[in-house]
Amino acid sequence: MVKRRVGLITILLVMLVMLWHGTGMMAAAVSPADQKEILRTLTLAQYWIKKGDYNRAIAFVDFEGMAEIVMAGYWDKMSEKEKNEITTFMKNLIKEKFPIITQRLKLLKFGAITENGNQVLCDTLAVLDQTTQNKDQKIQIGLVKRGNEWKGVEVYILKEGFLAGLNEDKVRPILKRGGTLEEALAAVRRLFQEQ
Amino acid sequence: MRERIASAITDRLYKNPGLIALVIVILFGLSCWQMFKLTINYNQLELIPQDLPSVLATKRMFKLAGGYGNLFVALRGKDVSLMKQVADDLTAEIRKIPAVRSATCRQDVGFLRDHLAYYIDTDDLNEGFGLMRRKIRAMTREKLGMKSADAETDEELRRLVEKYRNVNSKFVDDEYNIDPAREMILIVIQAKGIPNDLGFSKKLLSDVLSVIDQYNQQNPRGAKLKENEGNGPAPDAAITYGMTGEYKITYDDSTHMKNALKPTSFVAFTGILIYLIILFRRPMQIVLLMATLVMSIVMTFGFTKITLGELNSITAILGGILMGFGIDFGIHFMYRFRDEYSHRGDLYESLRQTVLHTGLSSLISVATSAVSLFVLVLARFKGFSHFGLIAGAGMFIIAIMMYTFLPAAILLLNRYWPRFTKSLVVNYRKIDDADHRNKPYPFASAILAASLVLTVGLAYFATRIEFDYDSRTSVTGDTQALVLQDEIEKRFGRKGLPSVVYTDTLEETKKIYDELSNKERYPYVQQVVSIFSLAPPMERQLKTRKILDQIQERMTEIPADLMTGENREIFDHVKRSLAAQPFTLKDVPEDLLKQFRPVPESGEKGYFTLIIPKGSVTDSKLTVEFTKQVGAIAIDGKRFYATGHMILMANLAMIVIRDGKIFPTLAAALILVILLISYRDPRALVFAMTPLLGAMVWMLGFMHLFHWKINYANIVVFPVVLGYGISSGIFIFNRYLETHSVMFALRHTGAAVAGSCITTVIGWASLFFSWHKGLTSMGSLAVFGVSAALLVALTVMPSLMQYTEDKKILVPKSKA
Repeated sequence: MVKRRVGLITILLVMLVMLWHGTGMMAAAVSPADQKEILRTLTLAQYWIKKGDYNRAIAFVDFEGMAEIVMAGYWDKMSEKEKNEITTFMKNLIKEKFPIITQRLKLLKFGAITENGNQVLCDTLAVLDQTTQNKDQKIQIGLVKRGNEWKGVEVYILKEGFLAGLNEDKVRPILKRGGTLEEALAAVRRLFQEQ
Repeated sequence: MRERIASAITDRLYKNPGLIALVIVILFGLSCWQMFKLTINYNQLELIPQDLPSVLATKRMFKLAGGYGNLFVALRGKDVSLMKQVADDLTAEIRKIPAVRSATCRQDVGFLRDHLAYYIDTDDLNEGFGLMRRKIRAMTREKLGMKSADAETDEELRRLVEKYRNVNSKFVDDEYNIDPAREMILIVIQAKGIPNDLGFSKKLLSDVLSVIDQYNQQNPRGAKLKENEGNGPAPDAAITYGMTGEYKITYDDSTHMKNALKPTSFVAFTGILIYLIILFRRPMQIVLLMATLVMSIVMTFGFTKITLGELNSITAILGGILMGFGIDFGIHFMYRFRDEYSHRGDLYESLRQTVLHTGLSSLISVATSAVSLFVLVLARFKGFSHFGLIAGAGMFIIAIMMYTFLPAAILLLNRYWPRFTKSLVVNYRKIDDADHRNKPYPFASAILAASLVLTVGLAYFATRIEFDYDSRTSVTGDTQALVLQDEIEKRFGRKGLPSVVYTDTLEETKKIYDELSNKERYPYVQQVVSIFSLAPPMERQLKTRKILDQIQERMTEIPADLMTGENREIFDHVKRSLAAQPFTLKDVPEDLLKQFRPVPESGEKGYFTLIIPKGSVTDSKLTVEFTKQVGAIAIDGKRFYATGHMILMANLAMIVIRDGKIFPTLAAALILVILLISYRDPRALVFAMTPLLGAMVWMLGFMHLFHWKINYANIVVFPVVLGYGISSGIFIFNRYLETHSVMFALRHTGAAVAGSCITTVIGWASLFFSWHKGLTSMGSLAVFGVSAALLVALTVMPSLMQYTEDKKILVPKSKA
């Protein structure tokens, strides 16, 4: 009888330990403070967009992080000068297109925040495209921490990263076939110009 | 020696012309009796050896499947729902035909549709997933105001979707056998007989046609059906219909061949008759020649009945050709005999001289021609071997008749109608005067030089001659059934008729399926359809499931209310297919499984595996390569033989090509041996062979220049031209040896050689009236070859003889 009790307690203990470690492993925890900070960042950005003050809104965007995503697979091999060039390129491009993009992607409500690799993802309810008004779409906004500030680097629609898509569809194929950086960036620019 | 033989023949044979005539007339009567019992077997596949493993496997397949091949009824129209209703009605009626085993126009494809994802190759599925992601990204960019016209992804996705619309030869987006354009529905009929049984095919086709006719007259749908006449959909009919498939194609081909052959003998007879009237202008001589010729042909066909029992699609043309070929002996006999009789006035001595000189030429000629034909008897392809036997025997029969019956008839006529001999006397004064002048052959050196240059030039083109692997150039041509078959292949993406392998156990079936699925080892196989392709291996299914899980995850995030109308339906299908779990053979509906099993009455419990080739059956090069790969599959020391129309056609092609290379070479070698024995002087060979070699080079060279190719039908002409080329030269050459005067030889034999060539050309040209692609190509090639032989015999050969005579080089001393 005693033996059975000991056995049962042991199993329960093992299960508890497993559960403790399991939850720790499964949930990419973001601290409540960070969560609060992330929500504050996103709400502020949303506010400035609504107000039409794109310069203030864009302050919450990380251009270097964006450049890194667009040049994924090649970023680490690039010189500082090249990295700066591309960061500037992204900065100019996003600044130029930010009003149009934000008009077509309206953020409604922010939800759960989880960690995913070097980014945190914030589940967001949005309306994508004016033609499908009232059709809510679940998207994710990817953010990274720069110093003490959280900044947006990516938007995931149907789990496809917008900037990662530029890398996969344009930049990578051009560089892979031996094309130059200028060609790759020109192709990205063309995409943005073809509105 | 020769004189003794000639005297013996004239003494023994011609002293009793009545007896000879009586014996021959009796033989002729018996031959007539046999000939009328002679039938023609138009089934080309029976021309290949029946002990070939693929033929034996096909015979077994007939027992297992209760027949092989299909009959397709294609319905074409614009109103899809009416087409479907008519297809259902007609299928139900066709099923009532006793000769029909099954008829289907639709099948429940629900299982295949719901499990579609599992039939997709995992590489393709991964590619599809990648394309889907790319498409999502492109759409996102578009929604964000960037016009990313991504036509490339759309095209790749369309190609992938199209590839898997058809699972195991069944379209999964519609239960009817309907094409993607939704303009054609197929009723697939399996019959209880084989397509090569022409009587069965005829009855089946007629029964199906009468079902359609009856339905057309009183159908509840009010649909008006009209047969396709080769010019697209009929404007005044709701539905245009047509029939194709092995039963229809085989029957059409044989019927066309039968009809094509009908006028050829008549045309040849009339053409030769007209030419003889122009050449001889003496009615009695023409009657005698033609009567002897017709009797000889009848005796040849009597011989055929006794030895072979039947004619085939190639030997059936021999009537006209033998007439043209065989009359040569008569022309040469009559020319020489008239010559001798006009000079001597003595019937027996004239006959003796004719036998002595022309008889010997004829003997060498018939020996060489017949040898070049008899050698074909060794061929495995019955089209060749039967052709060789009948034509070789025919040549001998005609030659013998021309030297027995024709003289006997002349002697009998002289006995009962003495005035007849007057008609044999010809005025030779002009010829004799020319003989006395003894002028040499003009421009010998110039002709020789020019012909040498021409021959070298043509030899260059002759080496570039190609083989036409499209079997349609040697059959009827583009019949409506073949055109419809092409259209079906194009519309339904089915490239060729499938071949079938039968295995006794499930384990063997699996091994065959795995073996043939190796695309690197079997590049000519487009698809393998087996009981195992209905339930892919579990390992693969689990891999597929993983990819499906990823896709499903994405799909759940797409708001369903974004989809409307048809897209909503497709979205639901895709969702259902993504949700389907891995399955085993036990889960597959019986209706899908039974097509891989033998018919119950066979008593066998094995499985069929269908191998779909990468191209059409008419592309023989592909069928040959395909057959080399899958014809015999060895697994664990056991050989499995594939069967089907394509395999049999490929075997036919391989045998024809092999025989076509071996036998003309062998014939040429034997001709050389005969000539060496006959003349016992190698120098004589140079002269005797000149027309033969010249004709071959000129024929092949011109063929290439005219963009003609060697094909399955005309390849049989080569030994004939070999035999004929030699025969043209022999008569002139032998006459030349008598006097060593080239012009004398030409004056006395040139007309006969030209006459015999022209009659031969008429015989072959009669094939033009068949309007049959294969027969016409045979006729064209033979006309070209024989004409070239005549041209060389009358120009190059005399020039060569004159040149060597003048220069005293290579002059043959021996008189044959």
